[in-house]
This record gives sequence, structure tokens and C-alpha cells, in this order.
Amino acid sequence: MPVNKEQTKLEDRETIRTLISSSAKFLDEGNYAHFTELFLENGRYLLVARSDEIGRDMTWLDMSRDELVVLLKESHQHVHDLAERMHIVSVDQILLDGLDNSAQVQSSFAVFRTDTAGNTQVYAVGRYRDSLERDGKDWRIKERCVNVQTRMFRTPTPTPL
Amino acid sequence: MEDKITRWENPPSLPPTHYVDNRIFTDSEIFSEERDGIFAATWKLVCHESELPQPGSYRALTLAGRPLIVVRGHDNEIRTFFNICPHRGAPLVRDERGTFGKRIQCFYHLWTYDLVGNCTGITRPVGYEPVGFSKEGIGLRPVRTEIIGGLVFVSIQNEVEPLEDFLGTMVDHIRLHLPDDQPLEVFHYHRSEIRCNWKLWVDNNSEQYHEFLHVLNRKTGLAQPDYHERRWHLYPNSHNVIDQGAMNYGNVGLEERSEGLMPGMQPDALLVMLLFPDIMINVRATVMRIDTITPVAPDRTIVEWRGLGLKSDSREQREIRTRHHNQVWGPAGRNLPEDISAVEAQQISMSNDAFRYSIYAREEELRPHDDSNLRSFYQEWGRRVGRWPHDAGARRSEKTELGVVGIASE
Ligand code: FES
Ligand SMILES: [Fe+2]
Repeated sequence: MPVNKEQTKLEDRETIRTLISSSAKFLDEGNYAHFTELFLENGRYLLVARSDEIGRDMTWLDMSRDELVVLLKESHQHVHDLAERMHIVSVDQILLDGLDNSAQVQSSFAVFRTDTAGNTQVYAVGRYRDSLERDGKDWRIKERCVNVQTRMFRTPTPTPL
Repeated sequence: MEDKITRWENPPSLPPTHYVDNRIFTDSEIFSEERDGIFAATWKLVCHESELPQPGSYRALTLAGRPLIVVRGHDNEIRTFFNICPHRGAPLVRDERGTFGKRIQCFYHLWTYDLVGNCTGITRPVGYEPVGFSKEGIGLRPVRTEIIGGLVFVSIQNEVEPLEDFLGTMVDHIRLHLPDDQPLEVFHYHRSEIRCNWKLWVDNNSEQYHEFLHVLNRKTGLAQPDYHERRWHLYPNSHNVIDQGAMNYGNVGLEERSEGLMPGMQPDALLVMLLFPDIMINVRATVMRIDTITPVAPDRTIVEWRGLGLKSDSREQREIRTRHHNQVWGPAGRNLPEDISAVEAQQISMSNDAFRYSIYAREEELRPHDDSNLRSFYQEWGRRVGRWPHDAGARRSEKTELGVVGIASE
């Protein structure tokens, strides 16, 4: 049991770190049901990038949690990349609001792709900007905005990064 | 066993227009012939005019190995030059896009040029006086540039036929779907290097038969009652277009596309057209996609994808178009990974001569699954590079034709 506010904050921060790394781990494992459960019911997932060629910000995916659930449920029906992926994520900043009921989190990530022959390459790098909300004892994602720096993908895929 | 192996190694018993010798996808000599005979010899789409939004805007690119810049002048005219300084060959710009002020300045010895291509300044010109050399005697290398429907085409072949002659009947289709009085705007751009021959990508994108590959197309398109009632229209120079057909997006839980239609489009309709050699225009009712290609090596191809809406779109309308674009296309769309998996796998089978002949033999009276459009593409390719698609080793003498591609074009 937490004894004071400081300890609660530390525990919150630890829970949030675990949430971010779990989100990456679930994706790597193809455990999409658990991945989408990390989102609030009205949660949203965005994938955005900048094109230097046309000088514009682009939205590549903008989905509600429900839409994401449908997409990921159907993913096995699609011809998909047989490679494995691994995320390396580092949480850079956690900002808790005054009441400690919501948080803004920024993390950096790299995704490595290992093909069927065992060759590993960097697949994508970028940042997660997460808006989180306290949900009882847990924290959940209200919005994840994936800001991807990589624009030339070895194999494109609708699977979230 | 013997028989089966011979059958595998020999040409299929089909008319020679109805199969392709896969060495046309792997041979490096053929690859350089294509560069000279096709990409350096005809018109190439380099960008959409919305990518050059203001006087001074430029885009840099490479065509058939030549670095180019496309520039909007202060007179609003779009021109193209080699991206090479005539002094000692430094590039005029080193980035993909930007805006010039009044002048273009080379970063090496600081010579300057105006946006029409004249040299306007040579640093310390006195040094050239003894040999009588001055800025008047030098300038940027211009490149033929023509625009239709906002699409900026260039040709490094100065004697190339006018763009409208090359496009022929397709001009009407372009004017219908990219009308000058309703200008379009590029809102999405990305590219990938795909490990296959450039022709396989064109082939994949033009072919309707492979809709069987895509879960989304199986559910939204192939199941439509009048799917097979549409027809291909084949034109000279191997440009082609297929009639619009309505998709049922509801079958995969997506919203219908009945409002905010792109020019010339019917509700929920899909339209596919090819402008030879490499421009693929796809419209899905509310959003347009244009693919273009830069061949890098026999088994490497850079594909550029653009998504377009109307320039006049409100923010809400653009968001809808972007969503519709991303539901199917874009790097996170459902279909792209499937197409890439298919063509890259084909290329692997074709390398090292393991798989010699591909079959293009479907005849369905120009219905969607007819291979006529692909047969026409490979015949046009052969005519331009001086080879037979069915026998890559043989050079063709003059413009002999094999005749029936399938069904006569209109
Ligand atoms: S190379 Fe451009 S000024 Fe010398
Ligand atoms: Fe496809």
C-alpha cells in the first residue's frame, strides 16, 4: 500500500513504463487482443509521417480502438510478411497531470525485422506520443500517435508499429 | 518425368503473344536497353503541379540516370533542367524539394542562373576574359516539359512526339478525371524500393485477375454481380483503362463512398488506367492514387505513390479522402503488402533461370480478367526495345508485329 503521494507517483510511473513496453511486446508476439486491450474503449491509434518530397505531414492510419480490433482480427486472412519483428522502446518522458489522472508520455522506438533466413535489419524508427488515462488501478491509452521517421519500408504492413 | 521436365523448360504451346520469356525481367543487357529505348525515349510523369505550389518551387529527381530539377518560374511556367551546373557539374540543388528566390546558385563556385535557365553571374569573370568566355555563352540544359491535367511530364529526348499525340485517346480520360477547372492536390507521398523488375509492378497493378490475392478485393469487388460486365479499353502505345465498377465496401465493414466523389467518378466505383510505360492511375470513388516507377536494377525498382484529392477540399473532406486512401492504400494499407509479397516472390522464382515462361493467355472478350492489356503492354515493350517478349534472346528486325494481341483495340 502506498504510504504517500510521492510513492503513488513513483508507482504510477512504473506502471506507465510497463504499459509502454507491454504494448511493444504484444505487437512483437502478435498478441493483438492484448495490445488493443491496452486502449480505452474510446481510444485512438494514429500513424503519422512527414514527407520531405511534398513538404507535408501525412496521416497513414487513424483508427478507433474498435476499427483497430477489426483490422487486427482480419490480419491472419491477409498475405502477410513472414518476418519477425522486435521493438526496442525507451520511455523518454512521463508528464503526470496535477491530479495524477492523466499522463503524456513520449518514447523513442526502433523496430528490427528478422526475415525467414535470419537476417536482421532496422525496419523503422520513430516516437510514440501517448496520452494515457487512469482506469481504476491501471493506466490505459487514450491516444497513441506513432510518429514514424522511416519512410522507405522494406515491407509495408498494416500491422501497427 | 522426362516429359514433365521438357514441358517445364520449353515454351508453352500457346501463341507467342500469350506467354513471356522471364529473362526480360532479369537480364541486365535488356535492362539498359529499356533505359535507353523507353525511359530516356518517351514521356515520364515527374510530379503533379500542386507539388510546385509557388513561383520558385522546385522538385529534384532522376530520370534514366539523369538528375533533373523541375522549377516553377516567376512567370508561373513550369520548366525542367538537368540538375547539373554547366561549370564543373556540381548539382544545382541537393535536396528533394524547396523554393528558389530570384536565382539558382551553385554551391561550388557560386555561379548563378535565373529560373528560365540563363546564367546570370560568374564569380570573378575577369579570369575568363583572356579566352573570351562569358555568362552569355552558357546556361542550364533544358528538358522538354508538358503538362496535362496538372500532371507534369518531361522527356530528355528533345525530338519526342508531343505529349498529347503520345497519350492519344487517354487525353480525354485524363481531362475527365483531372479536369483543369477542378484542380487536384497531392496529399500523400511515399516510396519503396521493391525487389522486383519494374515491369512486374506495372503488370501487377494493371492486372485485375490478381484481385483473388486480396481479401479486401475478394469481398468488395469480385463478389459484385456485374463485376465481369466491365471491359478493358486498349489504345495505341499500350495505354489502357477499364470501365468503372462499383465496389461494396460494406462487405468489409467500411463506409460507402457516395459523397465527395472525385471528378468523373460514380459512387463506390473503382477505376484503373495505365499510361505506358509506368504511370498507374487508380481511383476509388473519393480518392485518387498515382504510382510511378524508377527502375534501379533488373531486380530493383523504386515505386512512388501519390494520393490526391481536390485542391478545394475542406478540412473535413480531406480527412475523409485520407481515410479512404489509407483503408486500402498507403504504406499501412491492406493491399500493398500483398502485392509486394507477390511480385518479390515472382522475381526470386525467375532469377537463375529456374522459371522460364510466364503465362498471359486469358481471353475473356476484354472483361476484367482478360490478359489483353498485359499482352499489349509486353508487345509495346518489345517494339520499343527491339526484342520479342516471348524469346528474350532474339532481337527483332524492324517493326514486325505478331498481330493479334488478343482482341483488336478500339
Ligand atoms: S560547378 Fe557550379 S559554379 Fe562551379
Ligand atoms: Fe494488387
